[in-house]
Amino acid sequence: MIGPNGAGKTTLFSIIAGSLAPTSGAVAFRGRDVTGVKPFEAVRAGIARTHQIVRPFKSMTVLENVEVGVRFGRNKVRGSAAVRQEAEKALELVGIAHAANTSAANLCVGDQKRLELARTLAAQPELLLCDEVCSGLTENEMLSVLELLCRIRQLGTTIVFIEHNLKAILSICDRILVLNFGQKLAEGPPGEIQNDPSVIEAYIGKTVVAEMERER
Amino acid sequence: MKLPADRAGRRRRGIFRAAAPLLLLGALIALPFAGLGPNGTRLLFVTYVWIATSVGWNLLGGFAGQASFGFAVFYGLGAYIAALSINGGINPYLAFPLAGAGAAAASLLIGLPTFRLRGPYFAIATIGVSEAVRVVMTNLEFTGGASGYRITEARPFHQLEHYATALVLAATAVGVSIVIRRSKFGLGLIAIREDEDAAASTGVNPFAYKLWAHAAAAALTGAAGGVFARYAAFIYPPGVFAFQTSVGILLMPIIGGIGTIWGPVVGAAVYGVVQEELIARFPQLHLLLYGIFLILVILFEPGGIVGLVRRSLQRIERARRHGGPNSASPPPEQVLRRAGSAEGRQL
Repeated sequence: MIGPNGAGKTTLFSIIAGSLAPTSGAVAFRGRDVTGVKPFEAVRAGIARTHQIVRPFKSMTVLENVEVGVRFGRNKVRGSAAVRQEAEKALELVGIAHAANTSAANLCVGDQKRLELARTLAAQPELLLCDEVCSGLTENEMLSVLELLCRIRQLGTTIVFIEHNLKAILSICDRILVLNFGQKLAEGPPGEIQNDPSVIEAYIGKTVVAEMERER
Repeated sequence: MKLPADRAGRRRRGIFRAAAPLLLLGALIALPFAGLGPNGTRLLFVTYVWIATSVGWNLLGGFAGQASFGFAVFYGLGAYIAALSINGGINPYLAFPLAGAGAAAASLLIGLPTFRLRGPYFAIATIGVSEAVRVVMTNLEFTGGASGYRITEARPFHQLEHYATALVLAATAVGVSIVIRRSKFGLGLIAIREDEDAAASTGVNPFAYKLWAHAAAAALTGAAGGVFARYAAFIYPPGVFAFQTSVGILLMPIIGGIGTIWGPVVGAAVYGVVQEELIARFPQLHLLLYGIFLILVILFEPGGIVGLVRRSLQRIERARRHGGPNSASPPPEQVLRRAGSAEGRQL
């Protein structure tokens, strides 16, 4: 999902994930009406989100953070050993298993983003909403997070993510939704969106398109 | 490096951790028989009552991070419910659970509206509720209003019986606290304390969890009020419902170490002893002392007495491992661990 600042991207996420109730319209997920449900109900229905600004449980260790996701999500494991194992699996997937026993407050930004992802994934969502997981990361960190998102998709989770880096979006997305002032501007495969004049006007900008043409 | 030795040390510490509370409990049971006079017994009785309320408050205020200034409501309601029940001919040992249940029911009524508020707004709302209940109780005819309520029992008074009741109550409170801290419920509460919205979007139901924590805390506080009422044999609203009681209940865990298992116990012991020792000679001085304690804790050691002890132990350990205080600065890993409070909040 792309769009200029203030387009309502995060708001839409909040509505889908239950943090905000919509004033009009409805949210349906897998044939179920989930309009205005509470966030924890959305998680149980299979929708989980990450936050734009990371929100780790700071007094807990990295592992405990993920255990919250395991215990309160859709995972049905019982018993502390099994819960820990599941949490370790999620940490391994995102690549911060080595930091399992450090305090969550001590992670660097990149790893905190990974922790946020691991905690959300541990709840076993069918739909994962990622709010700017790449912002504030270096080029290399960003590439590895994008790789991680691809791996999560391969494991069978649908991902919707908000991103500003066009190269990142065009390289890994199946479909793109463009939002502008709360309205849907366009929706379709990357190739189509890239050439949509209204999208270029509102968001991408003519110079960027020209630049990309030149690069090609 | 020396892993096996480390592991053995950790296991030894683990055994000590499990055994120390039981040894302490044994010693406290034995104390009255080892020549502790009626004054000492009374002091410990009061301390146990405070431990139960302090540990109770900590379930909500320490684990779930919801600082309530209104726990005198539960203490007072528990005291009155127990008093009315005992005078109505109900066995005292049934009256205490009744007091707890009544306070828990009241906590749900209070929690439903007040948990819609957060942080300072929640705290202010609890003050309002608590003051309102005090005024109502002061004017309630059938409990004697402001002139108080007397408990008359057919059984003779045995100080040791009261001592044992309060000790069982305090031990139960600590047990409940330990069980909750290690459970899924406790994990959810701490997630709520750290970040309520993040907890909710990880699947925790913050509203329900806060209500249950409130109820558990109120039950312990109510039972404590009941146990105190039976011992005192006379209660009156400005006593048990006093705002000062609410503040005391919240000060104990903060002084001892908020959010920990043993902090509220230590805090209650300090509070009980200080109050008893000073109240006769200088009726208002203990309030000044709590104020000083509170400022010291907030400024220098947010982890309270337990946090201070833990930090000192870590410092000693480090000095021993690295050949005394002259050796270079501690390894970065330990500096980090101290800065982040992941471990600090555990116990």
